Amino acid sequence: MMLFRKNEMISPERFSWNPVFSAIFLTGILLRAVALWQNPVMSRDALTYIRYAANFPSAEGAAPPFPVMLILLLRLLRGAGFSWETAGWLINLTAGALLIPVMYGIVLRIWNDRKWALLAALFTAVHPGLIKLSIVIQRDSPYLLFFWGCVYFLLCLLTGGGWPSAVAAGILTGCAVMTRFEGLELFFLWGITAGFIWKKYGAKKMLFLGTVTALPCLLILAAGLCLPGPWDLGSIWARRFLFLQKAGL
Amino acid sequence: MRAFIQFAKSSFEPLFGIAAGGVCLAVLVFFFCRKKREDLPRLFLPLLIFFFVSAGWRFIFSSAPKSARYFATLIPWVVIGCTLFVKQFTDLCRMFSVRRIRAVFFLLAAVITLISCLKNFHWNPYRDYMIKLSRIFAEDSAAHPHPILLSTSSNRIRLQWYSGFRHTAGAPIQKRPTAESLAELVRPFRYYDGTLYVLTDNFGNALGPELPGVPASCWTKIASTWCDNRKKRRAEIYRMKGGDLLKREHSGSRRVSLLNGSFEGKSFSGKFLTSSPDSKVAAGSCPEGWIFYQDFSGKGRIGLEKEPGGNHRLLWEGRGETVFCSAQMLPDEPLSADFTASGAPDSEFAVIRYVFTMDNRLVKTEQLAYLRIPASGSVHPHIAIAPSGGPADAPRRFRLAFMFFHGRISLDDVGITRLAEKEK
Repeated sequence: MMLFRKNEMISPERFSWNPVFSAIFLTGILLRAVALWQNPVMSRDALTYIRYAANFPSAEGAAPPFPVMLILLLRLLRGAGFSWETAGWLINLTAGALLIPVMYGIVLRIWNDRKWALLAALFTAVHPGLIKLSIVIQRDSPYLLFFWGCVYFLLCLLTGGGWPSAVAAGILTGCAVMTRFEGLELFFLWGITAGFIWKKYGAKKMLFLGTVTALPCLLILAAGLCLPGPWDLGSIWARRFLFLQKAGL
Repeated sequence: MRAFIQFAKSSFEPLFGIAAGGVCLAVLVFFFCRKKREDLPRLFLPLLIFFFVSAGWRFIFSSAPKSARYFATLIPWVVIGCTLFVKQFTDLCRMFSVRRIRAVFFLLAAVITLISCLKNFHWNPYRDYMIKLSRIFAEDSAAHPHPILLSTSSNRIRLQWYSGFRHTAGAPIQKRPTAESLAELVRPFRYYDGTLYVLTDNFGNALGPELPGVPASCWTKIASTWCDNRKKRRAEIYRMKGGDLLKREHSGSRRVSLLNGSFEGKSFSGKFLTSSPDSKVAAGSCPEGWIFYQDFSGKGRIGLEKEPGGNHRLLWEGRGETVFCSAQMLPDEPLSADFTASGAPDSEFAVIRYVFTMDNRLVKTEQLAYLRIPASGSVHPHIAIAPSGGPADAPRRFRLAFMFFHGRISLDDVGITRLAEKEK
């Protein structure tokens, strides 16, 4: 089966809000709110993230041993006046709810049929695993949003999307890697996408879209690496050793 | 296999089964229905390659992750799989000329939605047990002097958060604490002149009604609650006055001190209350409650020396930086340190402290005094220790340490007391 014939254009249904989708989206939000009401106590991991966020970026303390996107988001909302608890829940509930339109978009791209896209959105809205992830303050929910958001925009590129999709895919890849290192696997999907774009549109377009995707991603990663994080562990141990040395002054 | 189970668990087993059924149907259609083959979406191939890579490395490296959340990234694949199942099933119905395709579609969608919703809703009367427990603990600890929380429970950090209580002594989290582990947790605090609180998980079979290893009359159970509907695990908080245990141990010879530095404990337990500042812990003869380590240049020998009178004291000799550090964390408040140091004249050493945050992160190392053994052969310094000056909302604690540089030094009667008590 040929995946794409050269210069063949697919005209997918465009993403748009409609009453049924809106109802599904609101149901998803409602289910998450009810689940949060049922489990109002924060998890141990959530408190660990909050403690890291409270001390970030600390000149004296240890850097967080994980990528810092959640920490940054927590600090951002804390700066906006929310409590740590509310900030964490807002981030995860929002990310969990936004995954519904993302899955809707992905399935719309795959089957080019609104019926199946709505069904996927419904399953995303009611999936117990996804609801559970949305109500705990963890990195999983934002990571899923960034990861699958990137998958959506890469699918857009495969179906004729232009540079805006490439920029969005780059930004979301950067965010996914800065949320969890597993996001690095998106680069593999980049490779697959690049291969198909090359076959379909030629090397020139592939190079252009690749550059436009890579630039924002690299910018985010470079900015992230300037902050304390797991990549800083070496210097922490060095500092500890120096403290020990200096103690005898 | 374990990874497969984790994947199924994180994505909810019935939906995982339906998604797997969807994939199987798609494969069957692909191989056996040539007419329908072209209907498969073209974007499926790149997605399928990506799925196998994405799921594959998780399955291969699945010996490390214990949590089902590790496979959470794959849940949307299950969503796509469930959609695929409904699509393939309705396509099959159409192939076999089944009427009411629309009804089949809605029925399948409704069943999957219903299964998911049933999983979502369950009533847990103990859902806020930690908040209630924390309220009781906060009220009780506010009414007692110098409280400290000891715990190996995973609930410790949550109790701290919801009660706003900071002064804790952590230990590695144990899923099922035993009598011995709890006794071991409490033992180093028998000299602590304050109120001890122990938060523990009681699974019924591991612990009795009272804390073991400690006389029952010393303890008061201040709170106890089930953790969930299954009623297999209880979170319990006990209270004890630190000095009470010491009174019983020494039958009246109570010593009010925050640190035991008489070095009469002969054995080196090798287990520490909290993580040590350095992993290089020497095995051998080291007094109980103390840690010994040295840097790469250190060539020191440390051990216990028996005096003619029968008492023990710590002896160190050598060259290079060697640290002798208390395993016990001390409160970051005005204290004083007293000890007796003797040895070869001109031997040098320093008194330092390692300041930690409440979650055991090293904040700084601070030198309190730099000392030299005089010609007379001994010193009896009295060192005032001021608080480390951290922010008020982030309390700290510290470990007292001696850093030996060169010579031959004997150390004995190390004591840390509160300044206020001395003034009395």
